[in-house]
Amino acid sequence: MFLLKQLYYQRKFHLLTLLANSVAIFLLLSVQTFSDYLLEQLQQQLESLAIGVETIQIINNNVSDKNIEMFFSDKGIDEFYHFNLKEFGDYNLVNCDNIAEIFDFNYYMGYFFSDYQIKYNDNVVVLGYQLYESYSYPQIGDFITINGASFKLIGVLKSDTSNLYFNADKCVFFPNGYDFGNMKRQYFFRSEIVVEESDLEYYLNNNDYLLVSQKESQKSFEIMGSLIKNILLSLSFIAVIVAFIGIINNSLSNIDLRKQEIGIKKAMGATDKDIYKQFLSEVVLIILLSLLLSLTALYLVLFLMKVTLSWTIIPNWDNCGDLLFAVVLLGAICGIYPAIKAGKVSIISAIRH
Amino acid sequence: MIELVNVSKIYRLSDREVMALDSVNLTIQNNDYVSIVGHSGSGKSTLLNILAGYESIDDGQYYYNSFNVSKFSKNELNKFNKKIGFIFQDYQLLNYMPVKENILLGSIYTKKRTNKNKLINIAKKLKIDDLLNKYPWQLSGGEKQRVAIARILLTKKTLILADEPTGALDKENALMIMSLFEEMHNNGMTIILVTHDEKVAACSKRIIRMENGHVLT
Repeated sequence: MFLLKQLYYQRKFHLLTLLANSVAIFLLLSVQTFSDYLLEQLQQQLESLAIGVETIQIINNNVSDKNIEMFFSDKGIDEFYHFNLKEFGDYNLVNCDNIAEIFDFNYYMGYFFSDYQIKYNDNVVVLGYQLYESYSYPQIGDFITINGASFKLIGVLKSDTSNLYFNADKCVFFPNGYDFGNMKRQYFFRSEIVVEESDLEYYLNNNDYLLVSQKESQKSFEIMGSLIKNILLSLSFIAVIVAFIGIINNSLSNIDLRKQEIGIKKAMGATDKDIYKQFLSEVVLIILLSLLLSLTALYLVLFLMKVTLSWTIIPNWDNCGDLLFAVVLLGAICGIYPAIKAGKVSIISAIRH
Repeated sequence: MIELVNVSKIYRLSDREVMALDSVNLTIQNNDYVSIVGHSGSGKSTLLNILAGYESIDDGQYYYNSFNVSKFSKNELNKFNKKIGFIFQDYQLLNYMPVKENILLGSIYTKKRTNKNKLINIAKKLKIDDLLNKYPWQLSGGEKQRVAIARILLTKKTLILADEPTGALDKENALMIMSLFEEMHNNGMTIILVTHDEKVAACSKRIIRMENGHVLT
């Protein structure tokens, strides 16, 4: 309580330092928060583009499924999905497995096929948005006629659902059993290991397939994103260090200005340790107050962004917490030298000042 | 009892040495009321600072109640400081704190719980109870000195040292301060004050004269 009172009485000495620290810490927290958000958005964009998904495109339709499935089995890749496409005028007929498990689909309404529906080759269909419009906006459960046959609508994908491999807007999806003849065959899969063209040579002939992998691109995006984040964080940490150098400078010049105060307190019985504790506590209190101010400012900015731009950004407290701990520790360390110097001021030199 | 045995103090400046005290021998009994008188530069303030433990000595011994203060460690010196009340010519109050907080400063570092009623009683006695929420820069010289004295009285002191306590005061305020010293002496405190004013010195029970670092009487 006494220390808080002292800080309050000495506020004119500390106001600028408090302001500078608050701005620096606010900058650090903002960079952390916004870069986390941007990385998250980047990740989501990459996922919606299916950049982590690899595909084997079958060029020769005589190639047997068994060979390919043997490849997956030998490589320990348990999850792979059939995807067969036939162009039909302006749109594509697709029969497939439950590819919703590998692609991040957004639904306008309904859902994708379940494994059960695929297994029993149910009479169900999922439409891309353009098809939904061209069929005059049917409802879920309605029956629509495609290629002379009737199918129950179970889902519609959102507009602009597309990725690196297909434009879902123009697709009609059927369970895997439906064969429309002369379909282009693909397999989609994700793999922890790096799969190369040479890996498939044992199972298939060279001219029979094309392996498409975006793994390297994904890695590059992720590395680039982390690099940018780390550079920005480092720059803002430098701002914090500069602010803390200001603390050291301010504290040292304060000792001269506050020599009389130190002398009087020592004449009243304060030890070197009491003075050292006071000065160090002042620094720590200022840093904690700066943290509070900068957190308040950050939340205010995030609130304004939510209200004006409809962006909901939530700070990642695991990352921010580590940063804040480092900031407080660094600040306390910066306060040690001036505090020791203040403690060593003699009564006589202080009183004569 | 205070005893100085052949105490010398030299100030080493960049171009010369100044012998502030030269083989001073002095005994002051407990509950004494002593004035140290001398011209400017006679060494009286140096003597007072040494008695307070604020300055070290270059030669000789300083005993307080048989303890050799000149050989005290930092901790022991600090404990010794807490038993002494020092009153400065320029009051040495903290302008940024109200009067009440300045008085409380007298007890913060003794780590003894401050009785707020005691503070108010002391303030009333010294006629500064209506000034507790004011700041030192709003007070007159006499009021400031009474605040400094209140600061001392908040905790029990056995020895009061005063360096020109009335030096910056008018006659009326000076008399008020001297009557307070009389009262403190009657309450059992040992008082040693430094002054160049013979009239102020006359209020004490014993006068010690100094000249050029020597005690004359």
